[in-house]
Amino acid sequence: MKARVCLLGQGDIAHAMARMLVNVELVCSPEDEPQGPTVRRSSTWEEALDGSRVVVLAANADRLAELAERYGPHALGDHVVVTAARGMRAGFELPHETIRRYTCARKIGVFGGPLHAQEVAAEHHATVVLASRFREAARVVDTLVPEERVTVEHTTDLVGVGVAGAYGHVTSVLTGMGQALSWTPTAVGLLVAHGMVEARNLGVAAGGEPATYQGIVGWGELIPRTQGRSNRHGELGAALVQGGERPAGQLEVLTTLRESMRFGQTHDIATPVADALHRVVDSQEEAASALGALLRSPLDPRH
Amino acid sequence: MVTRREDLEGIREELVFRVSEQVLARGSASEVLEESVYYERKRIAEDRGSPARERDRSFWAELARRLRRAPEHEQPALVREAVEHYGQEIEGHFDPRIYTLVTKALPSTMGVVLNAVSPSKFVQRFPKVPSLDDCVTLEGETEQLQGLRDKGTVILVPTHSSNLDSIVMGYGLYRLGLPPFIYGAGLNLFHNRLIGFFMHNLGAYTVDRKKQDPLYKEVLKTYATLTLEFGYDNLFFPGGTRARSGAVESKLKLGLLGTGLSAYVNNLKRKSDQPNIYVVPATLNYQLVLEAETLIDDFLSAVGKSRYIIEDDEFSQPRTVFGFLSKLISLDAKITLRVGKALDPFGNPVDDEGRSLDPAGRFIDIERYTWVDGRPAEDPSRDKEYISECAERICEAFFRDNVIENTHVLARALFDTLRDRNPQLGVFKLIRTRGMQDQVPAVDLHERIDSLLSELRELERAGRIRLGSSCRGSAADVVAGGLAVFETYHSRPAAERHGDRVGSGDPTLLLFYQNRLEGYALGRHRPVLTSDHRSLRPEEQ
Repeated sequence: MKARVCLLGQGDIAHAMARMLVNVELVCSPEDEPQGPTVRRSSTWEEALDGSRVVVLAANADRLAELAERYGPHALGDHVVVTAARGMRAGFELPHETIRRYTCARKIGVFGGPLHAQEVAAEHHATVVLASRFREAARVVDTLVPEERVTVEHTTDLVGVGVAGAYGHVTSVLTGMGQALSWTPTAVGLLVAHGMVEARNLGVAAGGEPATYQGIVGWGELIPRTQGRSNRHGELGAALVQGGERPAGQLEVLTTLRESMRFGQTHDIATPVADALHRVVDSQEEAASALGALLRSPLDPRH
Repeated sequence: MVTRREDLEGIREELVFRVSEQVLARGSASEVLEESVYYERKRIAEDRGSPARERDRSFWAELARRLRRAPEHEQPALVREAVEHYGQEIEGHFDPRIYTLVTKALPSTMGVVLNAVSPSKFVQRFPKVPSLDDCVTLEGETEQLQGLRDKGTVILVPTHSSNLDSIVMGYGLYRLGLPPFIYGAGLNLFHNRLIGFFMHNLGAYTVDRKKQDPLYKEVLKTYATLTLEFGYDNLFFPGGTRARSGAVESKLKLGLLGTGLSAYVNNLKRKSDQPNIYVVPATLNYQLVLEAETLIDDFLSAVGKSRYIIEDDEFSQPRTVFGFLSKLISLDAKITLRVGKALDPFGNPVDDEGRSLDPAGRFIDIERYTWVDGRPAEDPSRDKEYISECAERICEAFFRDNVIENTHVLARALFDTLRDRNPQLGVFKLIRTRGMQDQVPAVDLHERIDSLLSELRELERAGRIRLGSSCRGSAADVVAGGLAVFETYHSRPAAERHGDRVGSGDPTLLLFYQNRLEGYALGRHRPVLTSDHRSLRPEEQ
């Protein structure tokens, strides 16, 4: 009998997760639209959750709280809850903390690394990291994904993966800006390196492990971003340079910038990337000038 | 303190069976015993003061001799003998007559004797005889603690800063109308004649922290687990030892704490009628700490880092203990025992009915946390995470229920001001050299205390700390009260007045008392201690 997985959420992320999870019976709650033909809508929350060992909260960081709050009353202690949300909420709250805030779930896993919804949906090969403090989460997820298409690495460093994920958006904005400014790939790469170092400094101060940033979650995620992938945050970067309309919808990166600056201030950590982008977003400085100053600032791997 | 004979026998039997089974599943009997013999011989060679030295030496010599000759199938019996040997040492004893004497007669007798040094207090309060009741304040979630005993088994986990703690806890439980809890006390305390007598007869079981043998640790943990499974409430000091720095513990030992979860899972597996285990954090708060000088010296000395057990401190001198207690009473100084909100073994809060709650206050079926394939089962890697989360929640409770008194506020304000005036010195150098400026105008100190009190009141409103009664007045009251308390007991006071200035008689003591406010991000100075509160930050050394 196939294991049952409850997929909660909508949009690109839910669609991609539905494509990534195979050999399982996928169900969604009575309140969600089935994301794809393989997903069946349950008539009640109980039906959706009671037989499910795994619950997927498919949402970005801004929507994750809403989803977790809906799931909270139905959550059970033996559920393994996974999310691919990236970003942070007020108080430097990372995705695993958001799930804890609204539910009784403990066996939480957060996907990180170069996991891109469109590529997964198109069934390209993906290598991802699952961060969880519980081995059971790692074991269960391994059985759900097709190993020929998806390689899953494991870590217990939820904080490191969370901060790196949030800064993935920041580096996407930097890439979008650098490319809109017609900067060379080297300069764009340097911008991303600044983002990487800042993510590492913040992540380590928040309790993450330095080594996390030297693998799939750090360089493994950020290097592909220098290739200028098209996404909402890259589009935001271009819009900040060209003065065009910003992409519609909520952008997690704005919260990440604000919270990173606050966290940096209280922990005495310089955040030149967040500061520069914040000045540009706030129209206090031109993009070229702010990024130029950023490139001239020293890379400061403090930890 | 296992009071029912049938339970005592049941625990002994199960202890031998369970520990033998556990260790033999991991290795052969000869491996287990060779390891035990190695560790015990090493300990016996080093621990020359142990009263049980000769008995232990002959036991392990005989066991080693028999092990050499025993065929393989007879070796498990030797493991069981070793477990029994450890079990007998650990096992507590309870004498109800001694308990009655201590709880009924001692407080008032002690009160009269202790107040003899302060006849004016005695006269002021006559005809009410002053007693220890005047000295120990109980507050917090005491009613919940009383109620939960009917709904499951309780593990009380207090902060630990003095060897008086177990006495104060025992007395506090009696005042709450609760029966005595089982608790593990360091073997060194049993060597003190007076305290050892009470320890033996009030049922404390022994914890010998010098024993490094893994088999001993297994027996100890299993003994505590079994007492919980048999429904006996327990008391652990989860910090493992007295906090050397004076700060609230921010990192706990997980070993004994994990016994709560093991007991809960075992209760579920055998379908116990009352499987629940409740973990109740508590703080013990002293204006003055009996062993402050020894503890902080140990914290600061290089030797201290490896000295886990202190056997020659103030607690080992009955006259000093007596003098300390009498001064507490004569000063109206308080020891506050504050009981925190109860948790389940996973760190979830529980309501007064003993039901676990999620972050939104909804009831949780916690049994499902323990499921493996739909049934309760132990899973060491998973359980380690649960225990670690429970420990984090306990630490949070310690910080919330930390009761700050005038001595802490005065010490913090003075210490911060001295740091301001000697910015070129790290903390270690500052307390060793006293810096260029080691006195502060009282006016400046009042200003600093005003600001510190504002911050503390803000924290208290947010439920993140508690202010004791000695901090309710003005800055001048706090300074005057704190100085008066400091000058009564320590050989050199942490803070003392010099005309219109205030300085420190003993900067290391100042550090000790100010450390009680570490971990709250107060003022503009960086923390003095590392995040686990077990050493000075490297830049301060």
